Amino acid sequence: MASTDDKVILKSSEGECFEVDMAVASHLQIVKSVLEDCEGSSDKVVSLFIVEAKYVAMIIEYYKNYVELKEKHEEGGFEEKLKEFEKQFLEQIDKKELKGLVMAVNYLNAPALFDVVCTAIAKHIENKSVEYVREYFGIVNDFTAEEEAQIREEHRWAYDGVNDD
Amino acid sequence: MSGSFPQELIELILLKLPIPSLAKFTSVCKSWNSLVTSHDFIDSHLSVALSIPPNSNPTLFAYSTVSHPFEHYSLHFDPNSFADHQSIPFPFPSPPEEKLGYHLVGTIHGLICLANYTDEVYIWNPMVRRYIQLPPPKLDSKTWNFLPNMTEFAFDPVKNDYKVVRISYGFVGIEIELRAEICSLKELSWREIEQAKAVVKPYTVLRFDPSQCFVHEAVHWIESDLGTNSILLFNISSESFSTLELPEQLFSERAWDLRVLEFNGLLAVAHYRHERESGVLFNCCDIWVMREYGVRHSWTKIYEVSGLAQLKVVSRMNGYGDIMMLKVAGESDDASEIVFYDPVNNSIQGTAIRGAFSQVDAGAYTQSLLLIDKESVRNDYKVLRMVYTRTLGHSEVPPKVEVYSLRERLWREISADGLETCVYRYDLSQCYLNGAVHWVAYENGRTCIMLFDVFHERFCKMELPNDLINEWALSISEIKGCVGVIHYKCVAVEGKAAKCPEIWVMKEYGVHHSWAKIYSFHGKVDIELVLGMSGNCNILFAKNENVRAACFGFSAIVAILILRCADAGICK
Repeated sequence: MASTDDKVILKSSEGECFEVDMAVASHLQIVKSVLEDCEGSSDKVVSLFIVEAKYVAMIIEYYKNYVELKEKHEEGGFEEKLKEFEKQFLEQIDKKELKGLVMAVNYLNAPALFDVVCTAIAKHIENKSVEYVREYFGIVNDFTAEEEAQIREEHRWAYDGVNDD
Repeated sequence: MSGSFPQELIELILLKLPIPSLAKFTSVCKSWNSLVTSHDFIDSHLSVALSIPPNSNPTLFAYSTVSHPFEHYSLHFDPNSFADHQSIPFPFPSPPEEKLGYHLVGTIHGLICLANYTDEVYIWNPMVRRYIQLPPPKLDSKTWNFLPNMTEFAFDPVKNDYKVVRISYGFVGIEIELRAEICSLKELSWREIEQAKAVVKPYTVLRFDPSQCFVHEAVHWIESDLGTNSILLFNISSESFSTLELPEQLFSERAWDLRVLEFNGLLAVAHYRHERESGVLFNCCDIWVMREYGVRHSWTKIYEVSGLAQLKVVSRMNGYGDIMMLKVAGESDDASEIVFYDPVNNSIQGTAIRGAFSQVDAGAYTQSLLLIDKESVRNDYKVLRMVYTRTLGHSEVPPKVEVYSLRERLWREISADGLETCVYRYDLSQCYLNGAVHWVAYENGRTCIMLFDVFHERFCKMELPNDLINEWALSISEIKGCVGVIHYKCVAVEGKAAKCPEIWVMKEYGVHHSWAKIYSFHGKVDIELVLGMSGNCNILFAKNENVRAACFGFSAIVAILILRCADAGICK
């Protein structure tokens, strides 16, 4: 098999191209199904219309490491090594970018990373204030002041220990 | 990628949040609020919680000690460090001494069922800090049972409902009879299980055992009939009783020494024995499990715990399959310690929880969102009927009181406690606020407000402002979310008597000194009768010339003046 067969090109919304090993790209369900649909065609370019280049880069980085670690630790210890890498991977991502990343991962249908990013967002907001969460997700508060006060009163205890935003 | 964040992703992220954060974020916006409190979300959250391996769940401790009779509930997340724990605030009032406190009936899916010896049963989710009190059982200790009842808590997977079963002994004439009744969280009313009388022989001794054994969709008790032991079970879905045989070796042991428990999802029986070794008495405990449910020859003795001087087995296992025990220091029980015994390695893990325990229980605990939706806590419509008997022109007190519940679809008589002296309703006005119906009543010539707590079905009295206690021309109405009273005051205007209604409001519910007169119609309009408040906070009243019409029927009123409360300074 020629080496080019093992590569695929992912094109971001800006048109930037990323050459990726098939072993890595196959973790993205959407890429897999696109390639299956046009089997036999020599053109191995997959357009990820709505995904920005920075997210494509992040996703490739994650799965590249995922595949490498899996190969290296076939005998065991993969889970722990992956956890270590995930921690380090998430540290370099801006909290605001997590939202864009989770939407991109959801679009590309990549379950392992999706779970990791959802958990990271949950961890990020769990001790935050209601106001912060509204701003973070761009949610408009549609409660009247009275309604909000009443709902807060119902679970007053839950508002203790809110972290600084 | 821009635009709003997709709702389906929100749901998946929220499922990963701890419960306090979810409770907090119900105030983010309407869609988050309805999502978190929806049945689907609560169910999804529970499925996630149940998929966690049992040893990743915290261990729930419940205990009360003689010196600290208040109930302690705490969650322990790390089995190796029991000092690290999260206390759970106990929301129930500490009952008077004769009530002997609450006992833990059982926990399922994060719900804790508690009962006390005055027939009160609560289902409580400490994680969302909500509880529901079940309606009073029909077979209560006042009218029926003479021995403590046996209460069990179970989950019906067919109806997806939580049920409480009570078994109690009582007298029918001079005969002892055993009866059972059941109440589910969805139905919220007690039904008697007629089959109990037929299946359970009246002189059967059932082991009154606070430890819970809910496995294979059934609750289990040790039963002893003329010295022969077996297991009585109640299937929670089919709501029927049947019996299971014990291993032959346990047929004729003392029933007191047997205890049913759950062991890794299997039905198990602990058998306590004493062994004497060079003059010292040792507590021993054998653990039997029924490997194949319902198959008698599958009973197997899996552990023989011996040499347990100073150890008393308490009950269930934690998530690790360890048996909780009490380690007794010295002769007295005063400084017992709760410990866990690992039967596999024959080792003991201390917890540093010490005291003279009056009750102890522990088990793996699932954290769930059940009861976070208000609707599940109280959702019923009731009709209250008070019937006064008239003899020689006097109304007899207390009246006969009946309640019809739409959920139960029946009338039942309830206690008229609190109505012994408060009688006579002046008019038909009433207001429903804070879960209670309020009306004006008279007590020994003084006026007061009576209220009926719809959920707990209790009557209670509330004082009126001092200016009104000798007045009788009063009617009650809700005014801007507060209890309001309209006083039809009579004043002299130019030598003639004129009606001058005044409006009083209890600004802070239940706080007597918050009563305030907020409006007087004095000299403003000619008012005969205030009819009530309209939705937009206007006061409806009949004018003087319509008195006759007002008396004979409101539909005949021709002219109704509407006075905006805002003009009168009532609205905030």
